[in-house]
Amino acid sequence: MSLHESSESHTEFRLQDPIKLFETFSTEEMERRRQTDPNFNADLYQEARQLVLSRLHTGHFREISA
Amino acid sequence: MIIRRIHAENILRYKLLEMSDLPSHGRIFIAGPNESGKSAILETMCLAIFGRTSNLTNAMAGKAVRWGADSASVSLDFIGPDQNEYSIFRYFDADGVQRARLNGQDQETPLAQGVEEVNQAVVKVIGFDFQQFTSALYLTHGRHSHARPGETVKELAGVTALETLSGNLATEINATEAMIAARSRRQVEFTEQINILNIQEELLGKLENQRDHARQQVAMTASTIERWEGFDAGLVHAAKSIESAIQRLKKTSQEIGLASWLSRSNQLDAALKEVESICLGGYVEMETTPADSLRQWHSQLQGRLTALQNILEGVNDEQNRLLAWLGQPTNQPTPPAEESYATEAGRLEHTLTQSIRRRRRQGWAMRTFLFLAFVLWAVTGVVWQHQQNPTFLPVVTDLLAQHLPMWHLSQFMVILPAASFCTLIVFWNFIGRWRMQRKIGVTKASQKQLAQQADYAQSMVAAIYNAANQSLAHQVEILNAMEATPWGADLSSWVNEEGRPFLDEESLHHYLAGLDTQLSHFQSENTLYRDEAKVQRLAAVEENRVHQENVAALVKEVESEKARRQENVRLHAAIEIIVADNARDRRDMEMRRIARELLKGTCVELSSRFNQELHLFISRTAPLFTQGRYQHLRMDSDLNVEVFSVAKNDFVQVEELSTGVRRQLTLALRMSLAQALASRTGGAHFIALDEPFAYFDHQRCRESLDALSRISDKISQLFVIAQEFHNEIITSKLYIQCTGEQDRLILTAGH
Repeated sequence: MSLHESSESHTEFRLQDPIKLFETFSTEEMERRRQTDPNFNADLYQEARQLVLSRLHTGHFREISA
Repeated sequence: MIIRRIHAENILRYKLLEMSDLPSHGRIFIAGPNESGKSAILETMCLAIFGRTSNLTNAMAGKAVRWGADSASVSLDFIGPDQNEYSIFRYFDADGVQRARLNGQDQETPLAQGVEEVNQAVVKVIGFDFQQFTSALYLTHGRHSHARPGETVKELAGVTALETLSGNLATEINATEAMIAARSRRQVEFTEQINILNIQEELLGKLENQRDHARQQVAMTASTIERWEGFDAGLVHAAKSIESAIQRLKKTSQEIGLASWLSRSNQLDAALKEVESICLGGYVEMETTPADSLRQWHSQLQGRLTALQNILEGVNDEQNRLLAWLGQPTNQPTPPAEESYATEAGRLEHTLTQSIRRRRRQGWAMRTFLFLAFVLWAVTGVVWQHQQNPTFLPVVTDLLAQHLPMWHLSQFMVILPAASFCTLIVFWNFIGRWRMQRKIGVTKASQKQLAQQADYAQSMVAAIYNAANQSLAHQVEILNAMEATPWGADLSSWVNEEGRPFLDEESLHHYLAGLDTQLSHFQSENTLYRDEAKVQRLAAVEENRVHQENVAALVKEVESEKARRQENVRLHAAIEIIVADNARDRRDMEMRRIARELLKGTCVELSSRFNQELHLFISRTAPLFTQGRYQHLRMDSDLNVEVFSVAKNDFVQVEELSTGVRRQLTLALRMSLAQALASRTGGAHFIALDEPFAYFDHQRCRESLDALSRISDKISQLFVIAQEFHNEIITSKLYIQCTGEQDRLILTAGH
C-alpha cells in the first residue's frame, strides 16, 4: 500500500490501520534513508521496526487501539 | 451498540427506572426542567455500561445509590456491534461494594463476572471505552465549554496508541539513559577505587617471597629448638650412660680379666661416643664436649688395655703357632708358617733310616771290593814275581800254561788297573760310610732336640692356657714369668709402664680414684653445656616467636594483597561489564530513538490520513450545524483541532470561537467522530446528547436535529435531552417528560 493514495468521495469513514501504516511507512522510510544516508544502519532500523511491530501486536496496544 | 432495555432500582434520583423495547432506529426525546432527572437517565445508562459516569469514577460508583436506599442495581440489554444481544447487570451499595455480570445470548452462563472483568469485557464487546464513549457518543451536559475532542481524534485515528508506544519508548530511553548515567558513575567510582588500590604487579610476589622466607626462618628456628632440646635430652641420657659406665669401671677389681676390662672400657667408650655424637654434629656443631677430659682419661685407659691386648694377641698367636706346630687344634686357623713337629720328626726319622741303610750297603760294598782288591793285588804280586823270576813259583807257571795258554805278559797290565780300581772303590765306600755314620749321629741329635722343643712347646701352651683363665694381673704375671718368649720384652715394658696400675690392688684403687675427679668434672661441664643449650633454646624460641609473628603479619599482607587484587580484577571486570552494557544500551537507545522517529512519522502520516477523512466528513457536517459559516476541520502539527472560518478565510483554533459556535462545531465533530467510531467497531450505535442545543434558537435546534438524522445510518439510535422541545420537533413517539417530582419512570416503547 502506498502512503499517497488518492481519496475519493465515500460515505464510510475510512480508518487507517496503524500497524499496517507503520509497516508501510517504516519500509519506505528505511528505503529512503538507505538511498540518502551513507551512514544508514539497516540492522538498527530493522530492529527498531521489529520492536515497534512486536509492541503493536501486544495485547496492551490492541487494547489501546481497539 | 443499540440499547434495547434498561432497568434500574434506587439509582440516582430514581427508585425505579424502566425503559424497555427501545427502537434501534429513531430519536428518543427526554425533556424537563433543571433537576428534573433528565441527565440521570443517561447517567444511569452510562453507569450500567461502564460502571461509572463523568462525575463518578468506578471507585465512587457507590455514590450513585439513591438517597435513603442501601443498595442499587441496574441492568441494561443491548445489541452489540456483532449484532448479538448482551445484558449487563451491576449492583452497588452505599458502602462501596460492587458486583457486575455480563451475559451474552446464553443468559445462563455469564461472559464475565466481577467489576474489573466485566469492565474489560464490555470494552471488548462494544469496541470503545468510557473515554471514547464520552468523546464521541455521549455528550454530557456542561462539558461543551471545555470539551477537548483532540484526544478522541487521536484515539480514533490510532495516533494515541502510537504515541503511547512512543511515550513508552521515551520512558525506556530515559530509564536507559539514567541507567547508563548510573553505570557511568559507578564506572568512575570503580576507576577511582582501582586508582586507590594502586596494584603493583611485583608486590604480591615480593610479599610471598618474604612470607616464604619467614616460614623458612620459623622452620629453621623450630629445628634449632628441636636440636637444642634433643641436645639437652641427649646430654641427660649420655650423662646417665657415662655415670653407669664409670660406676661399673669403679667396681672393677684386680680379679677380672682383660675381656671384662675391655667390656667396661667399651661401655664407657660408647657413652663417650654418645656425648660426642650429640655435641659434634648430632644435634649441634661444637668443637668440644663436656666429656673431653674424660675422653682423654679413657683414651689413656684404652691405650693401656690395647697395648696389653696387642701383647696378648701375640701370646695367642704364639700359642696357636705352637699348637699348630704340635699338630693340635688351635683357637683360630693359623697359616702353616713352618714345618710342624710331626713332619719334622718324620723327616728326621726318614733321614735316619735312609742313612742307616746306606751305611749298611756301603759296608757291604767296601768289604766286597776289599776282598777283590786283596786278591787282585796278590795276583799282581805273584805275576810280577813270576815275570821277574819265572821259577819263582813253578806252580804258577803250570797253572798259567794249563789254564791260560794264551797268557802273555801284556795281559799283566790289565790286572793291575783292576786292582787299583777295586782299591779305589774300597776307599770311596770307606769315606761314604764314614759320612753316613756322622749323619746318623747328627740326625739322632736333631731328633733329641726336636723332642725337647716339643716338650717345651707343650709346656708353653699349657702355661698360656693356664694364664688365660687367670685375672689380668695373674695372667700378666704368668706370661711375664715365662722365659724366652716372643712377647717377653713387650710385656715387660708394659708391666713397667702402662700396666703398672693393673697389677696390684693399691695401684688399681689409686688409678680408678681418678674416675671420680673425671666424673665430677664431666658433670660440671655437662651442666654448663646444658645451661648453654637452655640459653640457646630460649634464644631460638624467641627468634621463632618473632619469625612466627612476622609470618602471621606477612600472611595477612599477602591475603590482603590477594583480596586487593581480586577486588582489582572484580572492578576491572565490572567496568568491562559496564562498558559492554552501556555500549549495548546506547545501541538499544539509538534503536529506540529510531523506533520513535518511525512512530512519529507514522503518527504524522496517520494524522494526515485521519485528517483527510475527518476533513471530508466535517466538510459535510459542520456546515449543517453552522449554517455554512465553518466548513473544514483539521489537526495542526500538535494535533490540536482547527476549523476553517469562511469569514476569516483561515483556520482558527476551536478555543478561539464563541461558546455557541463551539457547541455547533463540537456537535459536528462528535457526529463525525461517532461515524469514525462506528466505522472502526462496525454495527449501529446509539448516541446520547445531553442538552446539545442549550444555546440554539428554535430554528437552529430544528435544523440541527434534522442534520443529526441525515448524517449517518450508523448512528441510528439517538437520545436527546433538552429542557423542552417544540411540538413540531417531537416527531417520535418516544418522548419522556421529566417533572422532578416522580421517583419512578417506566417507559415502554409504543405505550
